[in-house]
Amino acid sequence: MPIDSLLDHLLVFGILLFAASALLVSKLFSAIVLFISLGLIVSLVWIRLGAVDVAIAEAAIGAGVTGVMLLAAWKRLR
Amino acid sequence: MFKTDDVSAKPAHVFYKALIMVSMLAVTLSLLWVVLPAEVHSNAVAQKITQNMAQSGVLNPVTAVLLNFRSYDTLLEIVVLLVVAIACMPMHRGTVHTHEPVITSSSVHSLVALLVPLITLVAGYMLWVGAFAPGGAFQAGALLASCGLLIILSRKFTFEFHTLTARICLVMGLTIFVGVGIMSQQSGLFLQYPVESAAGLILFIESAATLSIAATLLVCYLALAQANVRSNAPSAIQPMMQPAKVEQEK
Amino acid sequence: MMSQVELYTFCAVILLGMGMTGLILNQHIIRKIIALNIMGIGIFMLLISTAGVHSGAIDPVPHAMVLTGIVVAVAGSALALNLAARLKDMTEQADD
Repeated sequence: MPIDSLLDHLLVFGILLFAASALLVSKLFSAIVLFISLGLIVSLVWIRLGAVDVAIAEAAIGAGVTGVMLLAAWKRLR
Repeated sequence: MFKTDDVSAKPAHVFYKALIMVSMLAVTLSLLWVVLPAEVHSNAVAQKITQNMAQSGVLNPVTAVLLNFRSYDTLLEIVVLLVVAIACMPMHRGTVHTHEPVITSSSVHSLVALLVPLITLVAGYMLWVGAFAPGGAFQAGALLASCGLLIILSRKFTFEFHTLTARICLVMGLTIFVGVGIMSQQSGLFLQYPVESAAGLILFIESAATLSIAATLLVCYLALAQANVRSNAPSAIQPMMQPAKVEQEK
Repeated sequence: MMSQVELYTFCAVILLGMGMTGLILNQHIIRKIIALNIMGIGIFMLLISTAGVHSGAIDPVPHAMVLTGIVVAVAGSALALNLAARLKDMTEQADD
């Protein structure tokens, strides 16, 4: 199997694992941290698919700003 | 809605959960069956875009699509951001004046002092380079918002959003976008830039939009992190002093 | 095993299904918002993976749509979190 295809399969496996963990894990703080990591792996996938603008935006906005707001809301809603 | 998940599983609840999971599995499998073998994409629009790139004034096709060929979508997106900023604006004037910094380690303190000018520089670069390489207004706005977040989290500084400067920052993106659209109506329809000045107009609109996006993201974070002083809800930013207004109202 | 487009389309539909299930079955509001964002990631993956099907120039229109979509998704999540926080404040005051 060529290395590109192996990388794609590993990324997809990682994404599905992290997404399932973010929805199933019992502590809410761990779920938020897993969601931020999911956003960073998805940013790698965008680069693999040739969408570099979307990758920068996903890393900054999708993982960064959404993650910080989720953490602030978690602190507020306890 | 605010409690953590219920661990006890009554028999009726287990049945409904199983039913929901089975139906979601059925929906997912039918979507897979429809989407995987289909011919979902035709190349006609992409070819038209590559033919007309010379008229758009920029070299990056994504920026050309976002700010020239489909600029109406970007205009409405900035309207959505403004509406969310208005809905999230903290209601009480002067709620929290100063606060304890959340990050107290001194090495992070000096790291932030190094990082904030660098991130601002990278944001400006990202805005400029959007015309001919991957980049653009949204990424630059998000970087500026992250600068603001670093300052809020590590210093005794907060952004007060009831001042005139802050409100101008929030509104400026939409105003300049609509203004450029109306003024370029002389050469045709709304938002049809004249071809020789398209590059300059796109950079102008993007600069205003960057400031607006950064301001909106900061307002949304601040409204979450500064709790309503009348309630006893915990907040991410602990106030160091309570304003005198609270004692008068109790 | 599969071509790149097929693999990412498969991943996108699975993410969509997981997000929908998480949205309905979770109780806490923050978990629901996380599930909604995971559905959003799935839809963006579907859009971008089909943009590179034809060899030659990559179609930039789905990229622009996904860029708009990411910003609107974060705005929607911010609004939802703020509404949840204010609802908690109001019901807490009502409990006194």
